[in-house]
Amino acid sequence: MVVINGEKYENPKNIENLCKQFNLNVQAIVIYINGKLITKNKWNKIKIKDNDIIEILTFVGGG
Amino acid sequence: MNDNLIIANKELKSRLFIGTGKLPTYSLLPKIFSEVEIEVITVAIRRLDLKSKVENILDYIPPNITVMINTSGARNAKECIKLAEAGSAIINSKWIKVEIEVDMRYLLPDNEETIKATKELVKKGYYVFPYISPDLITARKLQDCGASAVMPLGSFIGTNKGIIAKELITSIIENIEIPVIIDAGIGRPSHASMAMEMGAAAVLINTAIATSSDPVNMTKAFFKAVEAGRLAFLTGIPTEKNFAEASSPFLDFYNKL
Repeated sequence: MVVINGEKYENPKNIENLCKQFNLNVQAIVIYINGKLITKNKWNKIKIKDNDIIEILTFVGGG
Repeated sequence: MNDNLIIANKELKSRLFIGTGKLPTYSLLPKIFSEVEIEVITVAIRRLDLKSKVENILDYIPPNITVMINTSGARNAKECIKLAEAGSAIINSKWIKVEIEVDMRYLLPDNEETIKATKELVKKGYYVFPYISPDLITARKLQDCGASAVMPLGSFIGTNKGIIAKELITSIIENIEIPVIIDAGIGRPSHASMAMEMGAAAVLINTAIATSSDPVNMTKAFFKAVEAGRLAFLTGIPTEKNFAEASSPFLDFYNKL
């Protein structure tokens, strides 16, 4: 299991699967794993481990 | 006359910056951009909602618009820097509006943490636009840190009360070199005019436009107000006097009629 944006999910193992699972728009997001920013050029090298804490952030309207 | 605003290595024609929070739909943005000359907007960063299909605001922002990344939600300098880095990992923008708040009743910025964050972000190569409580000493420190501008609040965020901190903001405008952008609380076009008449370099408007019944027309109204105020400032605002001064000189001929 891993925690994604505060909720428990099955471990998607890698970022490609993570993006497929939630149908993510890769242009619009940034991913943190265990507090570390994973830049897009490293996405295909990263393995997601059990108990990892994943945060997916995006832009919203703001002042 | 070229009165462009040179800021953070850009030359801007428009001194009206707009925020994108509280808009009923992002699809209003392209309409605003097509009808009003807007060059700078702000966006914020939040956790992606995985359970519902959400609009991507970036789909509505053309590439010629400069996106200022707002760090609201950050409670200290460390969180602010993380949000700045997150935002610039999504889009190619180095413009950061440092907004650090711990007081949820008034959404007052923490000037001390703001100075810390500004110092770090400038070192990392960002253009930093700190949102501050209007305080000249803070503004000077931010200028010394290399901030691209300072953004003092006119009144509390979202209150539409206008520039209640007029004297304090004037002290900043008159005593620092970097541009002063009045942010927060500007609720009416007349407030925006006043900001420009005071010598502000630009204004940032969000709530008053986004919550209007017609955000496109309200943006137009603000744009005209900003232009009017700026032109009056450049021309020179007349001085106030305590006693009447007739507009047409009185001549001593009435008793001869």
